[in-house]
Amino acid sequence: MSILRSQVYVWEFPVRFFHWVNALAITILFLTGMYIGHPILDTPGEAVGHFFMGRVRYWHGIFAFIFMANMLFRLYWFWAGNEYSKMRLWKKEFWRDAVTTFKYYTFMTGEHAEHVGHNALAQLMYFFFVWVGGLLIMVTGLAMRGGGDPNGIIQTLFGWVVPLLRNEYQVRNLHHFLAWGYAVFLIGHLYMVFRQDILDDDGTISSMINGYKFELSSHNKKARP
Amino acid sequence: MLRLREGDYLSKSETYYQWARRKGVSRRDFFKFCTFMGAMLGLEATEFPKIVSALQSKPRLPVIYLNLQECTCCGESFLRSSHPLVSDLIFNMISLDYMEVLQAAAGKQAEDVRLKTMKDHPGGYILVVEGSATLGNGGVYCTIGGVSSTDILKQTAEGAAAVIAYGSCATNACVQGAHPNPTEAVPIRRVIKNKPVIDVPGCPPIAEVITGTIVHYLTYGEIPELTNQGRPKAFYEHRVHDNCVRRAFFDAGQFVESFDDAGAKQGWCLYKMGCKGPTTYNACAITEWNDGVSYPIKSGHPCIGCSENNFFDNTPFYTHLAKIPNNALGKDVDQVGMDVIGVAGLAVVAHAGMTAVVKHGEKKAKEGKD
Ligand code: HEM
Ligand code: HEM
Ligand code: SF4
Ligand code: SF4
Repeated sequence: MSILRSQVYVWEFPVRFFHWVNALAITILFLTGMYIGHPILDTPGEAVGHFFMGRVRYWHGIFAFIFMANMLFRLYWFWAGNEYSKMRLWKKEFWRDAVTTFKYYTFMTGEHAEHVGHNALAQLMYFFFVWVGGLLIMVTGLAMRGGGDPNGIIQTLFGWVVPLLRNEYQVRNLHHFLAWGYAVFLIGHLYMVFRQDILDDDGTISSMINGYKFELSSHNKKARP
Repeated sequence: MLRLREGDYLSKSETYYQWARRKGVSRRDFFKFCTFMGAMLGLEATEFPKIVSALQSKPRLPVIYLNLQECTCCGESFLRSSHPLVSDLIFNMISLDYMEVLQAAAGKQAEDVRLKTMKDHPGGYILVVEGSATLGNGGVYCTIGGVSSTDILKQTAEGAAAVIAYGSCATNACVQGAHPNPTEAVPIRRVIKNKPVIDVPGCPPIAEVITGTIVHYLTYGEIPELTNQGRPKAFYEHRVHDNCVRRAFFDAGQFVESFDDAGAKQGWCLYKMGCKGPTTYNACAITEWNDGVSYPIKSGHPCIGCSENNFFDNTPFYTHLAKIPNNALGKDVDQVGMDVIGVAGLAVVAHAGMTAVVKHGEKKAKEGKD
C-alpha cells in the first residue's frame, strides 16, 4: 500500500542552525557545569603546572555566551522566520491543539492532527524547559559572573538577582538545579521525536538536518493504516 | 582597650586631631592613621588630604552603640580590631558615648547618657546596632530596662545621621533568624526605613568597617558607596573565593578530600569540604583576622558563609550546595535531579510500551477487517 506524500520545507536553515548549536552548547554546559559542581578528577603535583578547573570554568563561560547569543538569535527568528518557526501560546487554536495532542499521547484517541510544524505539547516543552528554564539559568549564571567584576556592566545589569534570592548561595543552588531540567527535557524530547518518526514515518528526525518533512496528501489521510 | 573615663570624652567643639594630640598621639601617627583609613576605604591618594583636613577641622561625631538580640561576638571582634594603629587610636577616637558592654555606668545613669547624646546632637550622631530586632509578640523576646529592644532601636534611630547594622544579626537575623525563627527576628533594615542603613555583615564582622564608615562620613558628609546588598563596597565587593590564598589550588583542580589527607597538609582548596567562599562576599581573605594573622580558610577550615543572608539555613556546612529546599527535605540537588530523571525515564519506557500495545491492537483489528 503506497501513500502519497508531499515534501514540505519546514525548518529553515536558521532554525536548524539554532537547534544544533543549542544542543551542542547545552550538552557542553551541562557537562562542564556538573564538573564544576563535582570536580572528581585528581590533579597531582604542583598547582603551578595545572589549570584544569580554571579551564573547565573557562569553557563553561564561552559556551554560556554562545548559548545566550543563539537564544537571542532564535528570539529574532520567531519574528522573522516562516510559519513553522512561530510559537503562539496566546492563540485559541494552540490550546485546542494542546488538548487533542494530549488526548493522542494518553491513548484517548488513536489519530492525531497532522503537524507539519511542532505539535502543541512539544512546543509547551520547549517553552518551559528551554525558554523559561533557559532564561532563569542565564540570569542566575550572569549574576554569578557579575560578582567577579563588581564595577562591570554585567554586575550593573544583573546585580539585582542576588538580593532577590537572598544570597548568592541560593542563586548557585538554583542554577545547578535548573541544569537537571535539561537532562529531563532531553529524555522526553528524544522520545517524542523518535516516536513521531517511527509511528507516522514523516521524516521528523531527518527534518532537523535537511529541513523537510513528509506530509500525507489530504485525500489519502483516511486511508492511513 | 577602650577606656570610657570622663577625660576621654571629647568636648563638643574639640576636633579629632586636637583630641588625639591631647591624648599624646604624635602628629606623625595621626597622619599614618589618615593614610591607613584612606587606603582601607579604597580611595585614591589624592583624597587623603581631605581626610586629614576633615579630622583636623570637624568636631567629633558621637556614637551610640546598641546591643539588641545578639551574643556580643561582634563586640568582641570590635575590641580586638586588628590593626594596632586602629585599636590604639580609633576606637578611643570615635568616642563611644553609649555601649552597655563597655561603659562603667549602668541602669538609669547609662540610659541618661544615651538620652543626653540624642538630645545634644539631633541628626548628628551615628547609631551602631549589634543584634536583630524582634517582632514576635510585640517584641517581648528582648527587652532592656523593661522596654522592648525594638522600641529602643526605633527611638534611638529617630535622630541618627546614619545607622550601621553591625554583624549578621543586625543585617540578616543570623542564628536566631534561622528557620523556624521563633522570636520573629528581623534585620535592622526591616525596622528602620527612613535613615540610611549600612549593612556590615559577618559573624563576627570586620571591626575596621565602623571606623572607615565614620571617617568617610566625616570627610564627605555622606555614607560610603554600598554594594547591591547594602554593604560598604570597599570591604564587601569581592567574594572570599576571588581573593583566597588557596585559589591557585582551586583553579588547578587540587582539592582536599578529607580533613587529614595529604592534600590538607599541602594546603589545597577546601571546595569539596563544603567551602562557601565561592558565594560569600567578605573581606576575610584580604584583611584577615587577629592582627592579620590568619582567617578560617588559611587555617584549614572551609568558609561557612557567615556574612551571607540566611547563612544558618544554608546547611549543611560541609557540602558546597544546600539541601533542597535548604534542609527541610534533606535531599541534595543532584539527588533530586537524578530522581526526576529516573521518573522521566520510567515514564518514557512505560509510554513506549503502551504505544506498542495500542498500535499492535490497532493492527490486529485492521487485519481482522481485511
Ligand atoms: C544550559 C545551560 C547551563 C547549564 C546546564 C549550566 C550548568 C551549571 C552547573 C551544573 C554549574 C555548577 C554549579 C555548582 O554546583 O556549583 C554551573 C556553574 C556556573 N554557571 Fe552554568 N550552566 C548553564 C548556563 C550558564 C550560563 C548561560 C551562564 C552565564 C554566564 C552560566 C554561568 C555559570 C557560572 C558563573 C557558574 C559558576 C562557576 C564558578 O564560578 O565556579 N551558566 N553551571
Ligand atoms: C540538548 C539537546 C537538545 C535541545 C535543547 C533541543 C531543543 C529543541 C528545540 C528548542 C526545538 C524547537 C526548535 C525550534 O522551533 O526552534 C527542537 C526541535 C527538534 N529537535 Fe531538538 N533539541 C536537542 C537535541 C535533539 C536531538 C539529539 C535530536 C535528534 C535526534 C533532536 C531533534 C529535534 C527535532 C526532530 C525537532 C523538531 C521536532 C518537532 O516537530 O517539534 N533534538 N529541539
Ligand atoms: S578554599 Fe574555598 S574560597 Fe578558597 S579557593 Fe577553595 S573554594 Fe575558593
Ligand atoms: S571565611 Fe567565611 S565564614 Fe569565615 S569569617 Fe570569613 S566569611 Fe565568615
